Amino acid sequence: MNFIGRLYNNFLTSVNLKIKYYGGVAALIFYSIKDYFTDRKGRKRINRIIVMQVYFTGNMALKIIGLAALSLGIVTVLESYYILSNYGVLKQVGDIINIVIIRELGPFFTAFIILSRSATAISAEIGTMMVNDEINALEMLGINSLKFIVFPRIAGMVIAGVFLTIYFNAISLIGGFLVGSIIGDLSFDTYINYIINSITFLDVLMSILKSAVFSLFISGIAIYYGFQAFEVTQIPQVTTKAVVSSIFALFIIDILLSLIFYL
Amino acid sequence: MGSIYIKDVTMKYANASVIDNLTERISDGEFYAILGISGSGKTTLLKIAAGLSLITSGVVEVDGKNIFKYSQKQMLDYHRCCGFVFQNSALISNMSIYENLSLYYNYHTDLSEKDIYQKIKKYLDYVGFDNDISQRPNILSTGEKMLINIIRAVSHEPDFIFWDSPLSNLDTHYQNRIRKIIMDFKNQKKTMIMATGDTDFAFSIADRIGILKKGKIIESGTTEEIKNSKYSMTREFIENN
Repeated sequence: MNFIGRLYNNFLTSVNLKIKYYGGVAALIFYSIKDYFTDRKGRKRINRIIVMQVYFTGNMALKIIGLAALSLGIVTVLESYYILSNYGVLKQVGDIINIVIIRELGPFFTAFIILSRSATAISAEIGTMMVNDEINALEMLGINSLKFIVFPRIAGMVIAGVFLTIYFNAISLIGGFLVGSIIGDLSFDTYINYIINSITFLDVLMSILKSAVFSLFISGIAIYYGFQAFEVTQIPQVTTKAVVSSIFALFIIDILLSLIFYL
Repeated sequence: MGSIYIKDVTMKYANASVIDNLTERISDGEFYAILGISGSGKTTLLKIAAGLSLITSGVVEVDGKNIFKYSQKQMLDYHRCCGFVFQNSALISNMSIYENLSLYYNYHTDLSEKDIYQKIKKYLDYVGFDNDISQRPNILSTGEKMLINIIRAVSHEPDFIFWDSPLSNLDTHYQNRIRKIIMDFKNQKKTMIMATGDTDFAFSIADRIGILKKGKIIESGTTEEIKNSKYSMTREFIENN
């Protein structure tokens, strides 16, 4: 086969793999949700797993997300405060907080922390279950692994992602207020006034929607790669692939959602 | 229910045939043993018959129906009629031993915890398991894990039982206990397939035996037929194992 032929074949293989990957992730998300809502079997048990997943992804990430949010709020107000007050437009601090934190970095940072903490754990957990035949053992009991394994992890991550983003935004606002009041005698009422005048319902909705979509895809990708492990040595490989693909997906989804909402 | 008919089945992994154009029929209530060395494809064949592994070509019929044409729901219903004793136990590591055992009932039935416990207790007593079932499976010895693995596979009284090398990696004490358990299930006339490298045990318990080598059944027949086989590859296998 000549060079062009090989190039063409490589291209086809790569397209095939991409279709398999995107199709696989989409199918996992779609069918797990469909199976959960169309078949009530085992619902009580699955709901318990969702609660555990929310605890694992949400509660246990509060500290690190709180710290990141506080730092971001402090830095954002600190960096912008003097410039804005020099130009006499201090009330624009609300706009800056809205654009930087509520619309962009709140959901993005939260998703990033979830990705590095929980998505990697989910990928490795499912990979280990695959290698140890635990998924097969569930299937042999007539238990639908899409419903029992996939759905609770996706639902848990989406619920936790949304609440963590709201928490992140709130802590960031507190951080911004703290630094504003220390360096510039910004009163609480004035600060809240700036924020309320800048942030619209659409911005809050966008922030929550972004975090839900981010979490949906991060969990879908992590689970998809977890299912690709067939040997112990593949577990770290699939975990790495899950992280890289999720970061890529985060950027693409962020751009797409921003385009849809603000264009 | 049920007979299993594996017809012209080939299963390839990374372009190599793990199972190579294999045909075998297991009748209702029969105990069929697959004998073979490590890597001969015993576990894969067992998983194919149980509908756990996909095949490249061929047909697997259970009571005349091709299981690989089943919908997802039909396949899960077939799995509910099966019990699979995994070689490595495959207990769910993030659940307690009790949760592992009660999973089937919690998922498929509305039985109260008390009723579920009674059902499980009956089997725990039967196999002679006396460890703390509220603990995670990682506290168990290999033999104890195998006992729990067996209870999980059989406590819902399946029609088919698949045994994947149930005696491997066990000491004599547990081997004897598990031999007795398998014998009890044979007496219940369940359709059973066992993959094993233990020739003596297979000859002592199976109705029919198939010798598997590199994904092909080189000979299959009743225990007596295989014992007295004149076929050189069968003789060689029996003498070396």
